[in-house]
Amino acid sequence: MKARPWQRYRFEILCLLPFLLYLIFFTIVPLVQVFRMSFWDGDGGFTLANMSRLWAQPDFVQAVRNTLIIAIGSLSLEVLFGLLLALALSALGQRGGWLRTVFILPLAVPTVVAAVMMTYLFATSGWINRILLDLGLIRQNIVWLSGDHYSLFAVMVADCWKVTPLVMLILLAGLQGIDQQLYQAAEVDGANVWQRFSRITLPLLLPAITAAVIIRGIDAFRIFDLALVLTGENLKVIGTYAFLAYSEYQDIALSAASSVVLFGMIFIAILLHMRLVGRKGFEAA
Amino acid sequence: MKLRTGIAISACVIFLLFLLFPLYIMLKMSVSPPQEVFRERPSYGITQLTWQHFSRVFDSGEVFYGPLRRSAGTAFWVTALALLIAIPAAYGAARLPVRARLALLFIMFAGRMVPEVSLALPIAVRFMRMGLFDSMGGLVLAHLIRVLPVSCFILVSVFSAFPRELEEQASIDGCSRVGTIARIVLPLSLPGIAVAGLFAFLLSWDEFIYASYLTLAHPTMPLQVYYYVSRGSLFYAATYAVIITIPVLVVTFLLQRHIRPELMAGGLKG
Repeated sequence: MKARPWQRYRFEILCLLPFLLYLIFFTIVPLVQVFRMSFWDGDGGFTLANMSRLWAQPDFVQAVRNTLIIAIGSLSLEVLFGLLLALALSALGQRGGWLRTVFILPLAVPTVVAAVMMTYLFATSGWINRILLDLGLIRQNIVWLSGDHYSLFAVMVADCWKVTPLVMLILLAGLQGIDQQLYQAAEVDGANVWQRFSRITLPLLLPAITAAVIIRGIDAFRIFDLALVLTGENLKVIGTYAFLAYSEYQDIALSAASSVVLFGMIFIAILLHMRLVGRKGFEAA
Repeated sequence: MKLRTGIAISACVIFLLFLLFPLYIMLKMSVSPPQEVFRERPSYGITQLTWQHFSRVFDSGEVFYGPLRRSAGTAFWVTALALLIAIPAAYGAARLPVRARLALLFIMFAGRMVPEVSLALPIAVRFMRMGLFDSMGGLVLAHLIRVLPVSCFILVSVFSAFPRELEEQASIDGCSRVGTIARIVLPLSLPGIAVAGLFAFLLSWDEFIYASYLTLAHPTMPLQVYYYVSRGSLFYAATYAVIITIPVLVVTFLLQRHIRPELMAGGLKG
């Protein structure tokens, strides 16, 4: 008779136990609590009062809009530049080894530090304006960080600085996994560079791109330190909105409700992405 | 072929500038006297060198050393605990059947979907009741939320790639299960474990959200940086930023040979 799984894998399960317990107490329980804070009224009944109060705040609606724009914008830029760099590095091969070393340094730079650097660049008398003036591209200084669409752009650039290396690393791994013989075969068949890229590289890289988009997409929605340090309260994203509702206005229910909205957005984004990519993969097959 | 190399090199150079310029400006800020920075048109180069900001920070006593000790201590304990919990967990996951391993990886991944602001709020409320608010113990417990899944993820890759024949050989030779892990698996997986430890340290050192929910009078270094930025103390912000960046850059640089993309795959290929 075959041993039951938990008997056969008793040792493995025992190894996993501390981690799983931690996960329950420090991820699942708080998550349930935050839902309870936002949907339960004082008497223990279900209520949508916090949600309707939240959506009635113009600041919050603005924060939702900002979060969406930043997440989609910075993610697209990061995947685009990450892909370009991964292709460039793999084209350079061994000679580009030291470049890879330098390129992954932002991964180690604390996010707060990245934000500080960007405040020097995007300050009204900062270096971006200085360079643009010196190049003759603008006549007078742009006010980057006042909270309008310029600020959205600044936050996206800051996010790109910090995160493009990670995307590049993931895509580089994907590129290394592609069989080089495919390219030789395509060259023999007379395929040009674009055909080789669109017929071989892109389809075979799709799993890596998906992985990068999902891993990074989640973080892009959760943007917090960059926006807070760079723009203070001028530009609110959902993360900073939730934090300020808690720390400045002591409105725990509102803070909980807004963070639940953020969770819902991430959840929906992942489902949508899986749906889209799943279908594409299906068509390709 | 020539053209492609040229395009590749120029793309890399442009990105290199984009990457290094902000770092350079921050460094320049931390060693420039105020009159040089607040000029009408400050120069691109470092014309005047001064250590006044650094010496003022180092002389500021507890204002500086308190957060430094707290950040370093928290990151140390987070790294130690993360490895202590994640090594057995990842080993267990790597030796489970593939479907169970995938399910576990999915759970770890699902945990990352939850925004930190959602978890930080109930945890802050609970820690206040438990007396863990504004303490290093509370910070360590909270930081592990973001660190553990990443450590496990990396280590599952490491242990999945570990040849099982070696383990079987050891057990045939009469080594116990724990003995095999301690004498064979762990020593041979040291580079991977070092990377997992590095990421644990970095993620705690860099952590901002939990720290801002869970501390008030005893901030960590990243919060201190934010404090100076929000007060408009540009030089202090730059100096603090340089101070917290240098150690992690050095460690990452030393370990970068081992930071291989495969480690991020969570043993999906193995």
